[in-house]
Amino acid sequence: MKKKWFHILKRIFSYLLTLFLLVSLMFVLLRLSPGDPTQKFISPQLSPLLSEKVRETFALDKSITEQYLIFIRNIFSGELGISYDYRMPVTSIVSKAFPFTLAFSLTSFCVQLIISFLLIFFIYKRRGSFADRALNKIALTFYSTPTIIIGLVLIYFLSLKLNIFPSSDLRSLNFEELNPFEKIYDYISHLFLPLITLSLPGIVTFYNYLRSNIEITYQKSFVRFLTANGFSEKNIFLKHVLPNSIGPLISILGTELGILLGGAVITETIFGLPGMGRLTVNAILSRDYPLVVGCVLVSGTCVLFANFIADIIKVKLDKRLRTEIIAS
Amino acid sequence: MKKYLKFILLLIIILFAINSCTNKNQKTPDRVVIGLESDVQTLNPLFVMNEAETNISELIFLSLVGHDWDNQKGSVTSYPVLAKSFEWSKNSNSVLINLKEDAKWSDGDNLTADDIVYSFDLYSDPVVQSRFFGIFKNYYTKPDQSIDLKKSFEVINPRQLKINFKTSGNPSTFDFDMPILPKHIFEKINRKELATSDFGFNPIGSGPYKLSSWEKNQNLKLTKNQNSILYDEKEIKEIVFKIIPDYTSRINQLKKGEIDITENIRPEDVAEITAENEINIVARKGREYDYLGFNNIDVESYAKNKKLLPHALFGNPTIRKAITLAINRQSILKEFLLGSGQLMVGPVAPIFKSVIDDSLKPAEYNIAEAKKLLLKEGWKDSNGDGIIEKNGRNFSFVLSVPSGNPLRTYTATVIQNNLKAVGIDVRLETLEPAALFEKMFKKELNAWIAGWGVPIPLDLKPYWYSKFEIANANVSSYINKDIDIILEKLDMKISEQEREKYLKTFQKIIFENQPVTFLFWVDNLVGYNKRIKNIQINPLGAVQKSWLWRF
Repeated sequence: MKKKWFHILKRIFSYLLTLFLLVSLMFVLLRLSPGDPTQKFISPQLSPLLSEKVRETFALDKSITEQYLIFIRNIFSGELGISYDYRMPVTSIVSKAFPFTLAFSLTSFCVQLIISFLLIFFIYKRRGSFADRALNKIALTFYSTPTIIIGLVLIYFLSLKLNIFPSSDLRSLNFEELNPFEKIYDYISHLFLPLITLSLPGIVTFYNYLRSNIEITYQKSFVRFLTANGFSEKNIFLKHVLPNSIGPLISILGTELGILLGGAVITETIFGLPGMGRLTVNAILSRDYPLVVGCVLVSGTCVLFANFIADIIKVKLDKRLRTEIIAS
Repeated sequence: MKKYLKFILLLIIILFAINSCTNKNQKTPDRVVIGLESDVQTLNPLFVMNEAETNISELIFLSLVGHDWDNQKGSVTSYPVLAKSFEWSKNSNSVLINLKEDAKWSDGDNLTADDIVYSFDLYSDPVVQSRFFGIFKNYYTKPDQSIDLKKSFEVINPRQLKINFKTSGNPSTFDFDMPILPKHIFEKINRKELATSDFGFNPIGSGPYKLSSWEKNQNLKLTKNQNSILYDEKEIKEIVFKIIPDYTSRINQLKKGEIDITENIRPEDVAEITAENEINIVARKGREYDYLGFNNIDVESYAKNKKLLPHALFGNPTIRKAITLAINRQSILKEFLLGSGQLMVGPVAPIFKSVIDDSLKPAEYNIAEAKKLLLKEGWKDSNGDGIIEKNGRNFSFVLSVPSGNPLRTYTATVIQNNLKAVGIDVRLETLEPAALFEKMFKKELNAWIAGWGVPIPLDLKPYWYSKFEIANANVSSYINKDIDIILEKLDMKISEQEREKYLKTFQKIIFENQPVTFLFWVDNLVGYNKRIKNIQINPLGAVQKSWLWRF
């Protein structure tokens, strides 16, 4: 028991250290990369003195070492500084964008899981059939299609031509005037196309992975043994093949969830959604150092957290792993 | 499996059913939706920076005066807004302003002369760091650049004040065309914290509209302000700024009628958009241009010890002229911009009809003449490698191009090919815009492609004056004493005739010197739904005087 807790604490410490190194690396990389955070204050219409004043306010006139010390002090006091662009605390900006990303990513993640498993359930009886082969080809096509193309094609047909779904935004402009049922429909209709766009690559990734793992598991001798002993195909699949095929997928799921929680910049841009992806990219483009670090900290935490959860699930599913970890 | 399929089918049917019951037309008659590429960051007039922020903030905050564009004269005219009237003194050193008696803030407080003095105090305060800091050149200022309030303002009564300007200056209505701020709100906020205060998100203004909601990166809604002096029952009830980052989505929504106005439409989309018959497209001309920039001084010497030595390639006006002649600008205008622009002569836009020098015509594409000029300066291909050289040095340079701008990428390729024809070797370097602009302002680039927006009123000093600490936009490091004298004269009190004369001489000198290759004026194509009447799209903007829009 003690060993278990020691291992968990060690893991948490290593995650915190990783996060600290990540934001420190980001701090250094940002300062080394070309581009001036006060660029928007340099313009023919503005006084040349203004950018100097702003530079002092942002402490950019100080040496990198001094800036780093201020940064470390802020991090340990729970402050991420003031965004150069928004002139607001970074925590406040991130806390406005993150809830949407969290909800949207988790929904997409669930959609990806549910649909990929539904497809697997549909296909396991039809292995090698025309439907299986067709699905493989379709999955491969979607796997290699960029998200932006999927999004734009969906908008073109389902929004512009057929006028079934709105092409952007989280809700309608007259949302406040709608009744509760209309409000629900409004959300669903607005998020339908973005969810499909964001989820499709994940669905085909999970499907492809699981499909090939299942194929490998079916080749194993214990499956032949069970078949020879008269176990039903359903029983073999659900109780033996599927659990034995899921293991490697868990790591992929963890990574995918972490990436989703970091923000989906392309989907957010095409559909005009207010998430972490757009926030991060805009912060990088405008060299808003504190905001970039804030966004990286959040997405880094998400990736680590998702991996942590994936590790726990993997250990739960495979007892051998626990023994190995504790022994190490 | 069939069970699941049935469930999905049922769900889709339910969705369609609800859709058919609830699909209300969002395009309500009393709302105009304007599509923006990115969200604004503040509405606080102290800190608004880009055009969208300025447009929105000007609907919430009024100035003492407003400006109209006189298309016939090609100049601006002013009209009183918060001011009932303004009278200049005979020597134009002071102006007496009478405020409208019914001017109020959206919270019901009266707008008084104190608000005006306080606003200018804030704008010029170095602690506040507003966008207007350091530009009050016609006012009496203190060493820290803040306005000397005692010398500059005389509050006669709450509705009347006098502004005194420096006797050496050349004041105009633009000197007091700044949004007026509510003193009773701002004085409660520490000046150091104004930039981060909530005021930018909950503004109290005097304009025809007030903020009703702002969902970051989604939309920003303005509704009529009944306390405003510009309030009219017939004005459009709601103006919504909708954030649509993707260009294709913006155009699709314009076609679908989900948005009513959007700017920067690509020329290749015009035919398809106008085919819908509900959209008008108007060109905002003469406010933006693209140019091929050369550093006129030696980059390395300047970086080492700030020495101003002529650039080995671009320090010679004849060479610069040869480069201009060798570039087929007309082909770019025709093939990429599909004619949505105009070839340039110099930095004075043709829209300024009263001062434009019509005698100057754009240099025509002429390879033979370009080769002749280069040969005259001693540049010839002696070793037959296709590249001209002089004193053992090849005419070869790196041209920096900002990424993400298809027009500039295309232009760079055309320039590279065109210059190859006269024996000049151009290597293209694509830089991320933030990186390119930093290097450009630090004078670290040899040649680049960029663009400028033209200010109204016309102000050439920041771009062409030789004192770089004043002229921060003189990125090509152009130095010409005659130009300096003209620019100094233009800052003084001179007659309109003298101003015209100086500006025409300026244009001639710049045309002869070609400090950069002026490429073309790029039209800003604005699309708007025909249901909006009374919309004025001119060099001052597309979203301006929106309180006069009607359906």
